[in-house]
Amino acid sequence: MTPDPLETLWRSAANQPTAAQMEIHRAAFARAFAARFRRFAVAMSIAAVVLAAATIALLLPLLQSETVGRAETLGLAALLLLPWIALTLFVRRQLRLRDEHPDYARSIADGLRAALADNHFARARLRTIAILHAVSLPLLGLAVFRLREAGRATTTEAISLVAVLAVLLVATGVVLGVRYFAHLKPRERRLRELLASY
Amino acid sequence: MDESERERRFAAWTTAHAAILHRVVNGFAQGADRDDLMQEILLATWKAIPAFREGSLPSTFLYRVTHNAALTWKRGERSRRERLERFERLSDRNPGAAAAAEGESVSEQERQLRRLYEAIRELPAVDRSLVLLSLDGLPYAELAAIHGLTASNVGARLTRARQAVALRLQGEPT
Repeated sequence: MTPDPLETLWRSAANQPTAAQMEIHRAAFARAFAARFRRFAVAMSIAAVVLAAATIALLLPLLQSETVGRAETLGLAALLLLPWIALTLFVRRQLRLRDEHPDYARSIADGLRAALADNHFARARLRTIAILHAVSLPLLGLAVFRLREAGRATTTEAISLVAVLAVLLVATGVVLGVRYFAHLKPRERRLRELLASY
Repeated sequence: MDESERERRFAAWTTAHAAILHRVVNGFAQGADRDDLMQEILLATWKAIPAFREGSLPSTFLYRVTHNAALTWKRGERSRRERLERFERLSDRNPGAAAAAEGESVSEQERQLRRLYEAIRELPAVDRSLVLLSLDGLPYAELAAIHGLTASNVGARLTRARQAVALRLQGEPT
């Protein structure tokens, strides 16, 4: 086949999508896009409700108690604020990611290099968080042990506290691991392969 | 940019330049994966619309967006089952596409096109993109700007890639 017939073939009507085909794709896209946002909104609403319930359940007895001091209540309130800050940051980041795209003013090769640099920073950030997690686990155990030693927590309370915190840390660790090994590493390999072919 | 203007552009571009999307999808994917890649490209286009600079050509912009998305697209990102289910839903509403996907070609021209796309898909990813762009009639200088290569490098790569495509087409029974 010579190049001319090739180009004729390329520009033929057979190589054009029909309006109906494109309409089906656009409709599928609109449905998937709306469903994705709906799922995100539902998940975040559930997280907010669970967090609100936990905050109220923990804070209310303290506010009603006459034996707990104001400083301790404020201290716990500050601690309870942390998951709310984390949730807000997570929602903001997700909304920002929803519209994130490569810089199309740059060439594809430059865009790939920038994406590889972003990938490198993201992996470094995750490694740092993972190290902090690994360090915080024995520290939390030690803190709870000291609380029990000082008589501020019973053995049962201490075990419960350690169990809850450990489960939270391990769950976060799993999320970090999945993001690192199932998302960022394969993407890094893909970007390197592409850049190598330039 | 407000949402209504974004929606208007999205509909206008994906209608007027549907062929660009269609050719990139067929050049980079086959079977049920085509639908997955089309969705990925539509998402990339939707996200990219606010970055479009007034005064430039939407088609040039779309070439950058679609080829960028296709090159970085990771096949099998979603579960195979999900893709198959969606493809079946699309096929139910579009019997012609389903027949073509299953090999029930209706014309010689379509058979030739399918073989051409198969040959293109065998090329390395960057060469595949270059061949698709050149078949669409883009000049070397524009290809070089899109990919960040020199025009001479584009020329050399295209010569090799098109020879490989021609060889593959010649080597196949008609």
